[in-house]
Amino acid sequence: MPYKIPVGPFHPALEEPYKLSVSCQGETIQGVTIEVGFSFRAIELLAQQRNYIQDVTLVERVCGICSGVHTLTFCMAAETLAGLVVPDRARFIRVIVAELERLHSHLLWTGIAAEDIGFQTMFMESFALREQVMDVLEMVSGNRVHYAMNCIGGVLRDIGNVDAVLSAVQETRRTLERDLVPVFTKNVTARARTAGIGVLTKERALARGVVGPTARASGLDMDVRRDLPYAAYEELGFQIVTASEGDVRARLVVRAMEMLESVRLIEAALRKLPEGPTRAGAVFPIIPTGEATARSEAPRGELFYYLASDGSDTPTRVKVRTPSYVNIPAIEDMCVGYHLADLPLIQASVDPCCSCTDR
Amino acid sequence: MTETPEQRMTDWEKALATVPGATALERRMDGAWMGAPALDVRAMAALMRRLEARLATITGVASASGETDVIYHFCLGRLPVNVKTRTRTHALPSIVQVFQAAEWSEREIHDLYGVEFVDHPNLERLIRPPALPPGFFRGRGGGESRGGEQATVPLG
Repeated sequence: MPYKIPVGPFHPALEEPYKLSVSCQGETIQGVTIEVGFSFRAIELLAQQRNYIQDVTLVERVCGICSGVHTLTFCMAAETLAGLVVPDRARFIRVIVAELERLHSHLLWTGIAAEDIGFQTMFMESFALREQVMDVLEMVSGNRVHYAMNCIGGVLRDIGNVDAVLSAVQETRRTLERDLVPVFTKNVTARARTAGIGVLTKERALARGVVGPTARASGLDMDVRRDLPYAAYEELGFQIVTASEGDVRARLVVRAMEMLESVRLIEAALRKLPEGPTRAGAVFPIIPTGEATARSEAPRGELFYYLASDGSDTPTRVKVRTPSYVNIPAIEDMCVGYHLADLPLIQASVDPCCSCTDR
Repeated sequence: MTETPEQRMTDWEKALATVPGATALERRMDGAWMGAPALDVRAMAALMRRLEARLATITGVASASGETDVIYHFCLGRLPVNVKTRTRTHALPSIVQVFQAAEWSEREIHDLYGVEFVDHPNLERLIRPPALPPGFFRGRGGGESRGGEQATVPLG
C-alpha cells in the first residue's frame, strides 16, 4: 500500500529548508511533491523600497553561495538602462570573482555529494580545497562570502597583487587536477552510487526549462557565458562542458570538468588583466526611466534580473529569477522509479539553493 | 532596391505578428521586446512552443491602472524575446498546458500581485507567507505607489 514520507523542511540530507513529500510503494519512489517558501524574505519588495546603492548590497544577500553573481547581474541590468560601458579592467576582474565563486560553490557541492554517498574522505578533501579558494577570495575582496566587489559601472576594488593571486590559483588547480577531478570522474565507489540514478531525460529537461550543469548533464547545449557573453568571457574564450546520460554521475562529472575550465579562465584573466580604471560613471549613477533585463551564468545556471526604473534613485521593480527556481521542480521527474535511499543524493544533484528560490 | 521593414522580418517575427493582439517588435540592447496589452496569450504561447523557445520566467509588475503588467521572458535560440501584456480584470489565461515551466512563475505572480491565471492546475501558495493575502506586493514599493504615475515603460 503506498505511503507518504515527508522529507524536510529540516532534514540532515537537505542543504537548505524545503519540503519533499515522497509517495512510495515499498521502497520505490512513485512521486514527489515539492514545497518551497521557507526562506522567503521579500527581497524583491525590499529592493523596491531602497536606492540602487543599497540594492547592490541587498541582492548580494539573496544567497551566501552565489552572492557575487547577484550583484553582477543587478549591476549589468542597471548599466544597460544607464548606457554605462564598464571599463576593460573591471570586466576582467568581474570574471575572476565570478569564476572563483563558481569554484567554491562547486567544491561545496562535491563535498556535500561525497557526504551523501558516505565518501567521508572526499568530503574532507573537497572542503579543504574549498578553503584554499576562500583564501583567494579573501585576498581579492577582503571577504570569504558577500565579496562586495561589484558596483554599477565596474568594480569597487582593484586586484593589487596579481602574482600572489595567480600563484594561489595555480596551487588550487594542481590539487584539483591531481586529486579531486580524477576521484569524482573515475572512482569506482563514486560511479557505483551515482551512475544510472536520478535520470532527467533531455525531453523532460526541455519541458521543465532547466538550466546550468543540470541542463548540460542532460545534453542541453546552453551556457550564458557562451550564448550571451558578458564581462570578459568573449575575449577569454569559453569551453562548454556537456554530458548526455542525465544521471547523477553526469551532473557530477559536468561540475568537476567545469571547475577545471574555471581555473583556466581565472588564470587567463589574471595574465591578460588590462590596465586602466576599475569603474565608469558617477558614484551615485542616474538610472533613467526604462526597463532592462540581464542574464549571467551563476554556478547553478542562468541567473535572470529584470529592472524597471522611473528615473528616481529607487527602482520600481526588481525581479530575480534564480537557476534553482527552474531546477528544483525537475527533482519531481528525477526521483520517480528510484530507491528511497537514493533520494538525498538525487535531490542534492541539482544543487538546490532555497535561499535563491525563495528570496 | 531597398528592403521594406516587412521584408527584413525573420520568419518567426512574421509568425509572431499574426498572433491576435500582437504589436511591433522592438530590438533593444537586451533583446527583442513587444508591448501588447491585448495579446492573445495562449496563441502566443502555442507559437513560442512551436518555435522551440525556452520560457525563462514570467514577471509581474504593478501597473498604475490597477491591473498587472505581465512579461513573458523567452529565449529563442540565443535571442531573448520579452513579450509584455496586461491582465484583464486581474486575470490572464494560464500557459501551463503549453509550458510546464510556467507553473511556478504563474503561482508566484498570483501570490505577489493577486493575478488569476485561468485553468492553472494548482494556483496554491508558492512562496507567500500564509499570513499574507495574495497581492501583498501591491502598494508597498513599486511604481503605482509613488504619486500614481505610470512608472515603468508604458505598454503598447
